Amino acid sequence: MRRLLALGALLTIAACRKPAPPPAGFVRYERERPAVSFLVPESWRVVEDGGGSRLASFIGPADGARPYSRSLGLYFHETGGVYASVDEYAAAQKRAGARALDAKDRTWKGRRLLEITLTRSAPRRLHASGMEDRRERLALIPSSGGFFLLIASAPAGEAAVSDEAYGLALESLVLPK
Amino acid sequence: MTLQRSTLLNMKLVLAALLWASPAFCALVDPARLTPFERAALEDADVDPARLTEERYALLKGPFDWRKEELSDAERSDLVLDGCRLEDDGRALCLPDKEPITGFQALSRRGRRAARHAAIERVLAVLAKEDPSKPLSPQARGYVRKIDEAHPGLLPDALLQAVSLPGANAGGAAAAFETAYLDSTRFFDGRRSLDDLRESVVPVPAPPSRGPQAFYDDAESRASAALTQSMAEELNKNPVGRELAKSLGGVLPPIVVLPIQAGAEAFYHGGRVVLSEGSVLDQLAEGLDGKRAAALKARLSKPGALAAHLSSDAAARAKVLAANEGTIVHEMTHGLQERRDVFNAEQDRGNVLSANYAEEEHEAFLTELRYLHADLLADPDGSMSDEDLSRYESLVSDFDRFRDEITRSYAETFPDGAGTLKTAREVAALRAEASQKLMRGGGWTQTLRQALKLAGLATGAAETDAYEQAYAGRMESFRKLEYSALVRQSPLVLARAWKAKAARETDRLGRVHALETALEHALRSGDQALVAELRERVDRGRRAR
Repeated sequence: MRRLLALGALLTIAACRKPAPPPAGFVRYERERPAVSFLVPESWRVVEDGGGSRLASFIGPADGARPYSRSLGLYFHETGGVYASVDEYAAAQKRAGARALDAKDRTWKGRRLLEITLTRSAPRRLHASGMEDRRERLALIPSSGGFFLLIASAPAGEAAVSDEAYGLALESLVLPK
Repeated sequence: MTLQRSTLLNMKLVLAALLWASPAFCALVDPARLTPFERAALEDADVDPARLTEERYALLKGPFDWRKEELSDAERSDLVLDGCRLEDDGRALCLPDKEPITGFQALSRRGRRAARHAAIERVLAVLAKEDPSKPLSPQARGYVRKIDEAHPGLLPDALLQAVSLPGANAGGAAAAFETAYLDSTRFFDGRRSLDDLRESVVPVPAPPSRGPQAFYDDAESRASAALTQSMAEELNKNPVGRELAKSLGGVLPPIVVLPIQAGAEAFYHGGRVVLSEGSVLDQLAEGLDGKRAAALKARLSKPGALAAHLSSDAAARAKVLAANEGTIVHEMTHGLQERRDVFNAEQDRGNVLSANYAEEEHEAFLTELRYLHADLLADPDGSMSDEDLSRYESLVSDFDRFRDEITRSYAETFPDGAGTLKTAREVAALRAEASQKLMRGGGWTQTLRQALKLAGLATGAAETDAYEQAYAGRMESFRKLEYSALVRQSPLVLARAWKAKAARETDRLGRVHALETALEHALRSGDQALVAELRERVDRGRRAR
């Protein structure tokens, strides 16, 4: 019986450690330095590294009425960089064109999470006149040596679909301590 | 942006050529009668010389009439950028002799086959990332659909079917595209002499310099000289402008205004900064009532009229420059890249994918915004367009996000022409693989040809690495040396930009909102005089509201 219990406990631990399979249309993106992973839409294009705070950016969707109108990105801002804290980063967004800014501080997986939703005006196309509203959702998570930023951006009219990608990315996000 | 010639495609002309070349229409021309030029023009347009009818042959030998071809905006732009002036009577008068071109000459200027080759190559790069055993991903299907929508008829039906059949498998689609790619590669390889290939292997220390620019006539030349000189004076007033002019060796790329409609209001092409005539006419007509604006536009839309106007009217030139200053700085940065980066020369030599690279856009937008920042710091009455203001806000709120947003926006705006250095490497791998395959199946000459191409690709790869390092160095240098100061100074720049935006607002609520935003920035800037002025204007606006 004790053996069975031990086996049961092991299986439970194994089950806990194995991440749930991603929902259809999503895959888990992983990188080693820093060790992070999160779910991203399968068909989106990845732009990795690039220097500075950038870890990985994804643009998509590849198809539909407005291909590549949305993005999802993960960044790490080191202490000693331009932003001393998540609050300073949030303030910088507010100062620079962010409208309808809504900020919520909460606990996420035992850590502090500052979640911001904002709208900003942006050019509709490059090299042409015309503006549109874009909605951004930001998750700012303090970590050792700085803070992580997960951000999803989409035309305001596509906010609902973008929210799904943001929600899944945040829920599945695995960060180093 | 820089405009790639392969992105300006001729569709209808070639479709018409194919239709008219139908054997059912009338007697066929004996291919032996075709001159080498005529044969090459048909090959460029991907028209089978064996299917050319006598009637079509006669039309192609006669004067080309651009009106009868019902050219699209992009097709017309292609001819204009190629040095042609499209007359109202349908003739296309082209440099160097300004004689009306024939149908064959029009065909040979198009390069449809090269555009098709480039499109197949880009699709193959996408397909190469797919699992061959699985159905095609929506990403690959979407990419092909986007190219087909933008350039109908460019991709052959057989290739479109390979990706559009329900349940099409990635391996099958990739095989169809690879076969077409190898065929097309053989065709273009056959057009390059071994000497040409050998030369493209030898590394170049610097990009080749362009010769003097050819202008259509004196009026165009004078207008360009005057605009470029006035811009040089503007650059000299601004530290970032002086730095740019110095990097360009004091010789600015000439600014020209041409009747192009290529999806952009300005771009860098062929060593020149090209402004769209339509946008310039709108800028000149701004502030005029509807009737006078329409009359001015009608008068200046006639061939050569705008150049004559700009060459003789200093106020008109000043208005055009004021409306396009940041944009011209952006496009001149592309001119600097062309003169500075061997990476650009390697694109021209075929050793690197020719594309609009996001990394080059990052530098161009950054230079443009640094210029506008310096401009508004120095000028209390300075202004930025709404687009520039939004990009500036993005820059000061997060430099890396700013760059990523440009990359995303580029992919959205120019899906088949935009790329990153990663795309360059993916395409280089494809080209190398194709060369190895062709080498294995060929004789000595083919082996030598492909070995030279592989050596050229190695030269291109080295330049891609060198460009990437230089790019990263420039971005890091800006981040370390300038960014913090720029962010610190940004409240004053933003206050002035929003104040200028308020002056542009026609709606009272919008004006008050812009003034309130300007006041918020002014309070942070510590400029008490500006705070007092804006507070008074905000109060007045609120009372009126």
